[in-house]
Amino acid sequence: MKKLSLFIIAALCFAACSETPIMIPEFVAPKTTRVVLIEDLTGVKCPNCPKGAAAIEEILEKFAGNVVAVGVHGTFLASPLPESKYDFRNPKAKALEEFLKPFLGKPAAHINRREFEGQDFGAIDAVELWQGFVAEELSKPEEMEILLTKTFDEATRKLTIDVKATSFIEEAGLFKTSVYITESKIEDVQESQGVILEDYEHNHVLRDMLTEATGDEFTNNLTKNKIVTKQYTYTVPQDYKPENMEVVVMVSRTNSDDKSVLQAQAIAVK
Amino acid sequence: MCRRFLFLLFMATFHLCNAQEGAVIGGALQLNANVFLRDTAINAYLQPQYQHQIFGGESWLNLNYSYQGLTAGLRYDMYLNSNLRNPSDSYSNQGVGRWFVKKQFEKFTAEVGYLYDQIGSGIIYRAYEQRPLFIDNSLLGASLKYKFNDRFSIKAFGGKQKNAFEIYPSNVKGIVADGFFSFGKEENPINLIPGIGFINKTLSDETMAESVVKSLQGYLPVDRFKPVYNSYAVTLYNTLNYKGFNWYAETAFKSKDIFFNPFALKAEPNGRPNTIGKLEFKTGSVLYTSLSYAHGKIGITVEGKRTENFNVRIDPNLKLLRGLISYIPPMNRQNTYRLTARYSPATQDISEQAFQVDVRYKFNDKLSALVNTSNINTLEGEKLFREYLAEVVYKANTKTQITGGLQLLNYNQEIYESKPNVPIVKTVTPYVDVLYKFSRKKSLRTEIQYMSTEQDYGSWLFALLEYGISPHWIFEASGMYNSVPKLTEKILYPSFGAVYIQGPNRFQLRYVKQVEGVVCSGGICRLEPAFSGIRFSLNSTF
Repeated sequence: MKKLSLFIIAALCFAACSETPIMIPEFVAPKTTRVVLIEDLTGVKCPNCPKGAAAIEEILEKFAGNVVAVGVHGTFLASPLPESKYDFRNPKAKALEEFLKPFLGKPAAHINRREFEGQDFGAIDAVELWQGFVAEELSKPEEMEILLTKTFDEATRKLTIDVKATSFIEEAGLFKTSVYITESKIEDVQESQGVILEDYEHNHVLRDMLTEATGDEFTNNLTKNKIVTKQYTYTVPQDYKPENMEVVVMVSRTNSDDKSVLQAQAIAVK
Repeated sequence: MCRRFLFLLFMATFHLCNAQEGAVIGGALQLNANVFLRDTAINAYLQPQYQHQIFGGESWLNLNYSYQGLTAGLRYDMYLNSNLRNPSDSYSNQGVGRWFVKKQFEKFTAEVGYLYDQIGSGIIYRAYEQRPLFIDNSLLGASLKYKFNDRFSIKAFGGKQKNAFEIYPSNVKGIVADGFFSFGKEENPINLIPGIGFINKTLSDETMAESVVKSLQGYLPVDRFKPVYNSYAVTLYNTLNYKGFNWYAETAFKSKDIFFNPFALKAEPNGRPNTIGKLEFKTGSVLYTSLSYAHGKIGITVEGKRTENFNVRIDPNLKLLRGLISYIPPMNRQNTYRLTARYSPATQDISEQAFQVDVRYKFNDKLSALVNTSNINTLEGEKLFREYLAEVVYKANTKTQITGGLQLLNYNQEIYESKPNVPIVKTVTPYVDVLYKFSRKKSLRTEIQYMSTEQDYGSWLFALLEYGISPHWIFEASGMYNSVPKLTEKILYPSFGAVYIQGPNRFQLRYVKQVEGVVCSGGICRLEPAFSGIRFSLNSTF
């Protein structure tokens, strides 16, 4: 019994040792021309996805001009609810979700398609970590500049996008580009922890891609200061609102162990 | 370097064992192999296994050597297109899943390697393996136990938790003291088996910087806190035996610890609505007790539990079954029949209060009965789970045994599966199980179960035939039929299989169709997809 008492006293003394709490440094927006791509794996039947969407909006505000987002309503938990007005799924979204596997659940986000230290998968399911990983990506040196210009004919609803990419690095390998068409401010139902949100605003919904879901070949080998140009055209369907739409363009690596995004950029359709 | 060290270590151990008479070499092999057969009608087609991989499986091979107090073991794990780690995807990897060396000398027992252990019932610390769920949270480290005498021992341990074939960077240390005291009359002694355990978790710099601080930087001031690297948990437990009574009680507390609360409201900037789920920094506690009495024909067990903020993980941002340090015992009957086990409540580590009563009575050699009830609420009083079960076993003669029962169940699907606006699932499930022995070797077992419910998938009918030819063969055929469907068409999920047992070897081959389901926990959802295919399993010990 005496030994037990000694043990308890020792344990409590140990527990009583205090340590200085960590001060959380205030957020400082980095000054960079890098633009980070967030591919949010989401779905209208995903009860936790509104939390992911809110985190993305916060990131877009904090890192204004340095982050672009795409909401991928692929297969898992993405089929419409009985009350849904729209079905956000489409073949490109399904194929992209398949390409971005594995993921443990939703919400999950790929941030510049990087495999971050300590994460089991490239798709990060801990929403709390997204902002930190975006900041980490923004702290890296610029690798590429992407300039986008567009023309949109309201009568024909034809959109033409010109991409002008300038590499800041020399790197061998095959590089791919993906071009996403997104739409925001779509009001429809959404599951959310215990309730159906009636007029939930869905943002950055992937409507289509002007490339393959896995990307199209962009160039072989990057040469510093060399400019690569591409042009894409798209006819905006009648039921989409051009004023709420964006074109997102990114260039990525294609190595088996590194599919990271070098640079992304977005431009409003109208 | 590490592999060379392991190789030399085991060669040395093996050589030592072979060089000495009395060495024991043993092991076990478990192998699962699946052939995935696409079936779009039950949604068994999305995973890569159905699309192009076709075959998948996993195996674990243990080898253990022991000689004069020295024990060493090695386990080789292999996953090929496996759906265990992530049921929605495919996982392939292989390597040494576990190694350990344990030596007992006089009053000391020392062990290094990947350690499985628990303190008390595991509330503050449990390192264990649960292969079907891909749980293997052993501690890569060392432990040292000193046995003062037959009544008192103390053990200290420390290390880093395993994460598949890697380890998490944060570390865990602990110390536990166990006692055994017996007094009173020799024929009816009073036994006291007390214990006290203490653990300390220290977050790594990487976890603090990359996981905690970066998360909190995104929080508004109202939700922010100042985190610390260290947290502590202590537990006191005791078992008291006297005659037919057995009373276990455990109380566990943790210091302020960082954990993810999937139900907490998180404020969002710029007037956006609050979201649900955030990191918190709070103390926690679990009180657990179990009192049982068995005498003659009667057996009674009463259990109670209260849990508050006791989600202890190696990294607070890990979800589902990853990085768990604590294990809180469930508070419901572990049902074995297919339909009575369909709605099972996951332990709620943030807020739960529960009790369970189990009474068994044997009327005579032919007739026995049990009744069981479980009652689980949140601490705020929200109803989570109710179960009322009565079962009778009647041995008509030496050839026939009949088991019949009725289960009434309420299950809060909204909480357990994060499904919004769904009502409490209320089921009524009668079942009967008849075992008939044609001879000493041949027997037939029949199960018929019916679950009546207006909620979720609707009502189910399940039937099973199992023919046994002792000691080698078991053949089974079963079907689960959505007789009154609410979500899908009427679908039959059939299964056929055979088991062959030869001594310590068990081979099983089954054709299986299994219904799908979504499971959400800790703020993240996980699909347990439908399965369609052929399963082969082998369990062997040597």
